[in-house]
Amino acid sequence: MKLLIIISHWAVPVTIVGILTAGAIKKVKLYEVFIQGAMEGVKTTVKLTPYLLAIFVAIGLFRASGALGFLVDLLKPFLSSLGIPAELVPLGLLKPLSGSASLGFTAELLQKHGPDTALGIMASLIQGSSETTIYVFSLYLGSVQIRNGRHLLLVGLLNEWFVFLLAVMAGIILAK
Amino acid sequence: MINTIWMLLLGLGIGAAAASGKTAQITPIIFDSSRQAIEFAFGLAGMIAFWSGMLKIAEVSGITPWIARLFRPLLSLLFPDLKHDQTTLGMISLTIAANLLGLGNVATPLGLKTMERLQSHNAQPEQASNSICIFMILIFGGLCVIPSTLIAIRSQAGSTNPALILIPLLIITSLGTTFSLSLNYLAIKMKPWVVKSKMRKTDENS
Repeated sequence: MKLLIIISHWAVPVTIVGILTAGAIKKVKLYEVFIQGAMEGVKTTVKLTPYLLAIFVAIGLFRASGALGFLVDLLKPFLSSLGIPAELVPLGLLKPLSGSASLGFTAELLQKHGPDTALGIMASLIQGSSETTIYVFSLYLGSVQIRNGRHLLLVGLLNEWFVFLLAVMAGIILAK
Repeated sequence: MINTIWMLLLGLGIGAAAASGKTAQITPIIFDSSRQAIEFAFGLAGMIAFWSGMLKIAEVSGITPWIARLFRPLLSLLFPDLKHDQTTLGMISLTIAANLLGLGNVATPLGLKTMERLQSHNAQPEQASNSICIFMILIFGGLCVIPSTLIAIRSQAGSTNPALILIPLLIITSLGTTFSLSLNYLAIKMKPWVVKSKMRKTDENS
């Protein structure tokens, strides 16, 4: 574990030095090429902004208006009959939409119920078990102006639900 | 599908606000979340520009294909269409590596840059190519060796073993990614069949 953390701390500086060294050996005009690349990066961000706006406003409205809470109440009885703790339902709904919101929610759950209880382990596993599917989908496809994602979003959401169930099962096993 | 989800989020949001008599709050909510979106875009802009600059140097000096060599067997299996573009394969490897190390701030700029390269191979730029689907599924899968943020919030909450989740997470994300890749494979294989049956239906109708 310690070794892994050391690797992750060194990865960025080593990559930067590696790229600069390779560029210097190949006699690349480092500064000018960097600026040229960074300029492309700025253009990417400009293209991204409308997509970010669309998804942020939709999620903001969905949460702050109480629609999320309403949907949670609707799903709770059904999901608890399957043995899924009701506390996890909002997390499952938030997870595909917003990484920061679900992280905040997980942190709160861990504080309240303890990180090493079955519920705490389940929440941790759900939080870590996939990317923020809908957000990543609109960000990545939006950046290159793809309008038709084919089956991609459906597969991503099915994956979210699949790993959610796996996380609940793993939590039951690990808490014993 | 994103159209439906977006409409549902907005529609349910406005509906719920109306039902609970919070219609006056709709404008402030929209104001706040659009400001957050722009702030977020600005925050991201720096990292995207920086890593785009770095990657440009890597590209011009020709070391990106070299990185792809490390992952070649796996990559050629997943991305048969990109066999001859070692630079793109190298960028895919870099993105996945950043994700594996839990470097989210680095992974996003790299991923967006990789999408540009993948899109340049896309014969139908309006829709996601097979390679883009595979790449996105790898991102969705969230495979990560060092989920540093998660471990941090676990220890903050007083866990006696914050890293307990590491191995289970690796197993779950591997299973999830395999599951998604299989679904993706099925969807692509079934596509000709679906198109054919749709065509047959229109034939019958006419």
